[in-house]
Amino acid sequence: MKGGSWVFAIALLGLAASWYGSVLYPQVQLGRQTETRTVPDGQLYPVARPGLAVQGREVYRSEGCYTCHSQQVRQEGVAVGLAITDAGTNLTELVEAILAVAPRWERARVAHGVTNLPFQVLDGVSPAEAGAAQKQLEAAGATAVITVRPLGPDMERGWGLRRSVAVDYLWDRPVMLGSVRVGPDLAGVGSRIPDEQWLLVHLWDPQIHSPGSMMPPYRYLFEVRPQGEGEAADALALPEGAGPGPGWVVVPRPEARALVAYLQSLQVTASLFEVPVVLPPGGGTAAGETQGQEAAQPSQP
Amino acid sequence: MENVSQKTAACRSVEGAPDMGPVLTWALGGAFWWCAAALLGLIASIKFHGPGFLADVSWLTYGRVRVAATQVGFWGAVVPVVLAAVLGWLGRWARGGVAFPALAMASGKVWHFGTLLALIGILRGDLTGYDGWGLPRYAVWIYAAGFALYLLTFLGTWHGRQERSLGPAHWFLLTGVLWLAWSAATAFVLLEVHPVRGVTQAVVDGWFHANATLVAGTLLGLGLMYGWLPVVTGRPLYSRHLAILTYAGLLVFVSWTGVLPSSPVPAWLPAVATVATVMGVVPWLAAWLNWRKSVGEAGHRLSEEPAGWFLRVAHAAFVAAAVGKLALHLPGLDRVLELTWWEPARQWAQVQGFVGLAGVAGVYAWLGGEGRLTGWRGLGRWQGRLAMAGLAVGVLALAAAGVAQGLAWRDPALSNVAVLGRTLMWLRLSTVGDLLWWLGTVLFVVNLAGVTLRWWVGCWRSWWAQVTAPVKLQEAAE
Repeated sequence: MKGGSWVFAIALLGLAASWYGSVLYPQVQLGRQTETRTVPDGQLYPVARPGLAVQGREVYRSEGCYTCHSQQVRQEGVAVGLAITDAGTNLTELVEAILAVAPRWERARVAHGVTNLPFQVLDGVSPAEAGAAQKQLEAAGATAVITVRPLGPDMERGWGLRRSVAVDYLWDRPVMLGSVRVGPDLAGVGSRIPDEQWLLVHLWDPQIHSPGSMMPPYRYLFEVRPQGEGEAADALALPEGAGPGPGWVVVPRPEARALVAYLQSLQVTASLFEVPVVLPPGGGTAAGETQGQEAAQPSQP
Repeated sequence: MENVSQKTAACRSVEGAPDMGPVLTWALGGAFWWCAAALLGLIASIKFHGPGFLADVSWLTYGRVRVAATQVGFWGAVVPVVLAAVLGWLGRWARGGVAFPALAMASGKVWHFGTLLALIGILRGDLTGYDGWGLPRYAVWIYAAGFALYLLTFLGTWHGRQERSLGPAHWFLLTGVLWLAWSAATAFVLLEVHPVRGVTQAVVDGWFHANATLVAGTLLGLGLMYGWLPVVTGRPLYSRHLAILTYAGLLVFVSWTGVLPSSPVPAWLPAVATVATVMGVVPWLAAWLNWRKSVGEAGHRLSEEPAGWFLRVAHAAFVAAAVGKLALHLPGLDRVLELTWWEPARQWAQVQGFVGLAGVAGVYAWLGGEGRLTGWRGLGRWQGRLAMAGLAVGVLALAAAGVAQGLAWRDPALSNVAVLGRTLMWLRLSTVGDLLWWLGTVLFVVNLAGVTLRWWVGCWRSWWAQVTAPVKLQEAAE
């Protein structure tokens, strides 16, 4: 064939380039990645999962949970804002200063906000505007922090405080990102649903907490024992009609406990240099209205 | 006496080609596992009608069944059927047919044993945790042995070809076979033997998946099309230059497309993958144009042969999968479609629809070309109808589910169950597609089993005729 050697030279070069660029170079870039420090408090991150959670990761893998649940929070931007964390002593002057930097507020709501701290004064402004407003408010005796709030449907659903980044998976093997969200993302399920009993009951029968869910019950991860046999403290507290019947209790097997420990260890809350999250302590309120991240919502797994 | 000679002559025509055993060993086993994989896919789909269906059996829980259907469907079904068609095509143009036929048959049996191990392993919980690479470690060693034996017979047959010059089908098939092995070896070593750290695992897995299905798969699928299309239509391939453009474009661009846009990896990786996917339009368009011009006015000939049917459906699936991949990387649309049922729909179109049916077309073209499909054309047609209907219903329903799901996930006011509710109708419709598809694979098994049985009976009769033939007077005197 004329030019056959050229065709195979192209093939070799193309495939070698792809292998180098998509396999070898990412390994060079990420393979030596080490722990990082959170900002601003400088904690080491990520910390290796506890032993039981590592066992639970094996259960998660073995049951194929990753076929229905992703573990990657997506983000579409950030909202920069300003929150007052300490109002100082001269509230009258502070209210005037707030009305100067944020004229959209009504005086009565601002007066309520400065007595119910933290108070989110600005949200969705440029960093320069937030900086200028911070100076004005601090001149009035208040302490104000510039807030950085990641945005996107995933954050609004409470799946994480920020998007997932490479370092989040540093100690995981395998890394189970998932490719379809049949159910919710689980990257931050540990901070969303920290309750062990809730998670165990959900594994026993997902219909109890989420009627209409298509998640299968994982009953083989539990043992049904006659009441009074074994440790009753381990038994699940199931609602009327959801258990195996009178005289019987449901006790989680070690696999179920390990799986729940793994789920509890999944968190996307650390603020990092590449994905900063700065929220006023205790969550910001805009003149008494809750803003920022919602707390855990166990009714929405 | 006359009767015996007739039988012997008939059997010789059956036995004549040495590639019957190797090709049928690979193809029939692949068809059997395809049927098993499709059944597992059907079971997984039925679970969306009632989550309690078979939920108390850990071996048949959704996660395991879904992974088993995907992995067995690719490694156990699509790959061996394609390798059978490749072997058949090479053997057709080789001086002595398939080289080392006994070795080729042994390689097929070893490969199918690997599939059995993989299936059992996955169902008992030996999942890898990766979306692309899902084979248990022990099955990989068996597959590797089977592939090594296959490669010997592949290269031997390649060496024995009558026409020394190489055509587009040759480049596509050789590169496809070798690149499939290389990408699998890379994934196995870097994910299982010496695993890389952290999220690099996901990068390697994504690279493997794109290269095994989109690059090697497309090379093999198009190679079979370019190889068998002239046989079926009687017209040569329209343009070698377009084929070169497709070939080079697939290797240079599409091999970089493994990382999805929002993956938690350094930003340059998704950016490169998106640019490469957009550039991938060049080889995809070139392949589409080459097909269109090659078929030209001979389209009616595709309708006359089962092979032609499958070639046509495979090409439609190729176009659908290419559009699906492009949509997944388009800025804006990616936010809706990523992490939804769109991706399984695209994979179904690409792997089973395009690559798999190109393999089926190759097997039927090989059988038809050798006159071995007599009596089985009707079944082939029905298989074609079922495959086409199953593919269309399944892929379209899953794609619609993906769009509905993606839009719903973007509305934080909707609860998780409400989001699921918006996709359920489509998911349940896709069960119809799964059912039709599975019935198609059943017919494929029946068809190949029938051909194999006839071949065995022919061989037996031939042998029987020889051993019971009267001894000639001259031989008796000696």
